[in-house]
Amino acid sequence: MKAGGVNQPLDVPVLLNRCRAGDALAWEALVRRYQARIYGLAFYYLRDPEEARDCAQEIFVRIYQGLDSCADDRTFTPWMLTMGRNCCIDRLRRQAKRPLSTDELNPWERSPRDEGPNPEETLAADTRRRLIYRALEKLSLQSREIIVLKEIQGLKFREIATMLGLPIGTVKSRSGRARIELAKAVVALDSSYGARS
Amino acid sequence: MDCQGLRRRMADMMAGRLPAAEQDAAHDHLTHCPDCLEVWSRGLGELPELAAEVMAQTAPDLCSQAQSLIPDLADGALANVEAALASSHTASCRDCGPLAHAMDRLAHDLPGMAEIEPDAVFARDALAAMLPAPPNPRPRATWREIWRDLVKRPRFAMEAAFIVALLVVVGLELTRGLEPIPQLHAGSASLAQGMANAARVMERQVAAVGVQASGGFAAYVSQAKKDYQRAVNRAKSADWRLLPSLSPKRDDAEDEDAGS
Repeated sequence: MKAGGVNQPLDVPVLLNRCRAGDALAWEALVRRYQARIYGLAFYYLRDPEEARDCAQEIFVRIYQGLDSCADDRTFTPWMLTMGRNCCIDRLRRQAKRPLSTDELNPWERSPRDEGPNPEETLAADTRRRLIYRALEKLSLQSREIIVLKEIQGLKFREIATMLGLPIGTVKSRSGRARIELAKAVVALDSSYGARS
Repeated sequence: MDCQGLRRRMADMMAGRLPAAEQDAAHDHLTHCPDCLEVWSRGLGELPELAAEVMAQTAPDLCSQAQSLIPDLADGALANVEAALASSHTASCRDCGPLAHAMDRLAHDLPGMAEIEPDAVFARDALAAMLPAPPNPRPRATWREIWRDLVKRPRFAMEAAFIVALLVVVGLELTRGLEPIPQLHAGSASLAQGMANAARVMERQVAAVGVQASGGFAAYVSQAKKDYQRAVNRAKSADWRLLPSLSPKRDDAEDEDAGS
């Protein structure tokens, strides 16, 4: 029985080609693979679980409709995140000014997670993430966006510059300022944040 | 600049009092000499208060400069000398030290925050929002529902007006072909009159060839005359205006002709 290769995730280009050919199972695999990432992106922009959920669905619909426009399968992730970011911005523009989120909306507070092999470590990591999320709340939208795209989603400066339509030098300087801003906000909330590691 | 020269000037270098050329030479030496770099770094750490006082007087924006380097320091993107300088500062500065530690920790924690798991049914809902809906076994519509759907159609008013107009036109055409009862009587009278005329013509032709009409034929003509007269009377009693050509005088004259 060829069980060895069954559980391994398929390559994204393979999935994309099958999706373009109308393979619903491949599309489901793609949705399941990226749902947490897309939902996370929407959550950081919208700061509301229900809004983020609706928006994530809309993002997937847009991705599905625009699969043919993704020219290079190797750049699928930045292409997908660009589409997600545009969808979030559209939604933010359609909405009135959003209220600041409260601790109850903190995604690391809200959902009990699988504790894995080391529950203490998982708990400590979630505590740090809750702290970081609260610190992100204190940043400006511009700084938060740079942090989300660069540090959290892991996009390159060049990809962010293309996405935001800015010179790469501007993105770099904004990123540096945003990181310092975030570090200050985290230390202001918990001065022992970096020291206990 | 050699090791001894650097260590003699180290205090001035810490206070930022070296001329630019000597400062560059000291940096070059620190880049290539790990021993001097260690001594220099330790020296900064051993005199935190003094250095802080000196720097407060001579370089008040030192922390701003150091903080601009902290992100690159965390990324390992600084050159050796700059990295050593920034590290020395953050090791002794009460403001920048925690920031540098936090930056290191953030670089480790932030990538793990990319994914936030939605609820368990998100994927199902997302897929359902895109795939075509399954065929819905709808119950058979009642006549009331059919009528309601028909009325709701936007062109219903126009179609109804067209149908009504069509019915009116067809109805008028049909009723024009139907004769009222007096006209039916008039039709009978015309038939009787035609038969009488035909009988008269035949009688004239028979007389012209000199042959006597038989008794049977005369009886037939007489009966036709009676029928004719009866039809005329009925028509006149129904609607005399429909029989303008059947005047009694003319009928009488024709009767006389027919009798002869």
